[in-house]
This record gives sequence, C-alpha cells and structure tokens, in this order.
Amino acid sequence: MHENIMDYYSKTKQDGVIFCFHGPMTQGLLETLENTLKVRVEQEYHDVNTTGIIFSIFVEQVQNIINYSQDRTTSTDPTKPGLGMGMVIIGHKNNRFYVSCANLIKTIDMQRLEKKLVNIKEMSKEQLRTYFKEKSRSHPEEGSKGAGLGLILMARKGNQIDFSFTPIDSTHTLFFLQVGI
Amino acid sequence: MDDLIIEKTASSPEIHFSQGHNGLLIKGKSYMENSAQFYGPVFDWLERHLCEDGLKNIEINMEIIYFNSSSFKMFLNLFELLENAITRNQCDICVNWRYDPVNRMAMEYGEELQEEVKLVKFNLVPHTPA
Repeated sequence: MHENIMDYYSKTKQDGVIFCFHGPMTQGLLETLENTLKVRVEQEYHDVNTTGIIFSIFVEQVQNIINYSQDRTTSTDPTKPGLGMGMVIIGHKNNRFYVSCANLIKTIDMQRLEKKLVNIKEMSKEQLRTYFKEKSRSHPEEGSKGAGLGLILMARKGNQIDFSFTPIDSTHTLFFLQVGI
Repeated sequence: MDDLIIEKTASSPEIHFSQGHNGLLIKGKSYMENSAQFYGPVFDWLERHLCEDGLKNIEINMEIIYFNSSSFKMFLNLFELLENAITRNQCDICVNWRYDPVNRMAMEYGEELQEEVKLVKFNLVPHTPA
C-alpha cells in the first residue's frame, strides 16, 4: 500500500474522483452520505438540479448492489443474506460528472443484462420516458427484487451510459457501469 | 376510524392520514430500500377507508422532494388504487402534487404522474418552502 499511495493519489486526482467506496453497501450508508455528497457537489458547482441527478443515480447504483451483487458478506443470521459488496465512484472529469459502479454478477445472467443495457442505450429520451412508465406499470421480472426500473431511470437522468463485463472465475463476471451526466 | 401516522426518516416520507387532519399528507423523501414494504400499510389504510362517510371528498397532499425508481412504481400503484376507488364508490379525490419550482425533477415527475390519471383531480402546485 505504502509503495502504491502515489499511484492512487495521482490516479484519483487525474480521474477527478470526488468519492469512492468499496465494500458492503447498506441503506444506512446512502442516508449517511446524502448530505455530505450534496453539500460537496453544490458548494463546488452551485447547481441544485445536477446535485439531485447525481444523487438519484448514486441511489439506484447502490441499491442495485444491495439487491443483486453476487459478492456478499457472510451473514451471522442464516435467515438473512449477507450484505452486497461492490464499488461506487462519483467524479468530475472533462467538465462533466460521472457516477460509476462495479460488482460481481453470475456469468449466466450477463447476456440478459447486456441485452437490457444495449436496448436502453439505443433509446431516445422520449422513448425512455415511455418505456419507464410502461415498466413502472408492469409486474417485476423474474429474478428482480426491485422494480427493475433503476437502469432505465439512470439512462433517463444521464447523458451517456457505458458498461463492460470482465470474467472473474468460471461462474462470475465483474459488471461495470458508468453514467455520464 | 383509525389514524395512520408514520414519522419521516432520512429516506422515507411522513404519512399523516386522519379524519381530523386537513387532508391526507405524504411528505418528504422516498428512497427507502424496500418501497413495497413501506407503502403496503399506506395502501391498506386507503383501501379500507377511502370513500367512507367523512372521506367522500378527499384531498391528498403529496410533497415529495426526492424519490427512487421503485417509489415511482408505488406512486403509480397508488393512483391506480385511487382511480379504482372512484369508479367503485363515486367519491371525489383530489391530489395536490406540491413541489419547489427550483426542483426540476419533482416538477417533471409530477407532470408524468398527472398524465397517468383520468378520474383523480391532479393539481400541480408550485410552492417555495419557507
């Protein structure tokens, strides 16, 4: 760590990292961070609406990790699953904000997720608006604990969506998602 | 009639449903982890009491400053419930969507929700918080 600190320092500075968290995600973490993040972004960029957009994308990403990450802490209570682990980053680079996240998924779920993202990425804002409402009215898809709406909301709020999948072992893949604002 | 009063938290709104109160109130943030669990009792209360005597002309004040995607789904469910109640019981329901004009997101979502209702009288009410 000591040897790498200069690398970390310059890399995070270069990428304009405002905030980075790597570990178990909880609702409490979101609530604790809300004010800190809002104050930080608002003070520096004086825009209430951008702050709201950033936080809403951040909420969807963290709640996705809470619900879907396949990397989980060991639970002491056998009736409850462990906490979802992953990474979230908020940054500002080349005059725009980004909110990124990374977490493990099951490789067998990759294709379905990729298809969903490609579909969303191709849609116009108007199409996304319609699609969001259509999905809000329907019942959740199988395997979806949330409303399955988070990805659509992120695409609506952001200006650019990028994603990648990196194989980790025989059954798991690292899913990376970045939303540019 | 029993009242339904839920205190606000960092990520869930205040709920104040009682006959004596001036209208029903849903006010605050809504980005809880499990929105179906939170709004379950709210829907139950409405199902039981909407259009009863004393609740024939109902005003619901919604002042939501921020919400997540699964809460949006809950709001659509709420409006579906209200529309059905009107069809069944012929009562009047009015929703005031109160928002701070500075908060563009709250305004836009209010407009989107307004498009979803036919029988509920849905008012967009800009107001500047004190």
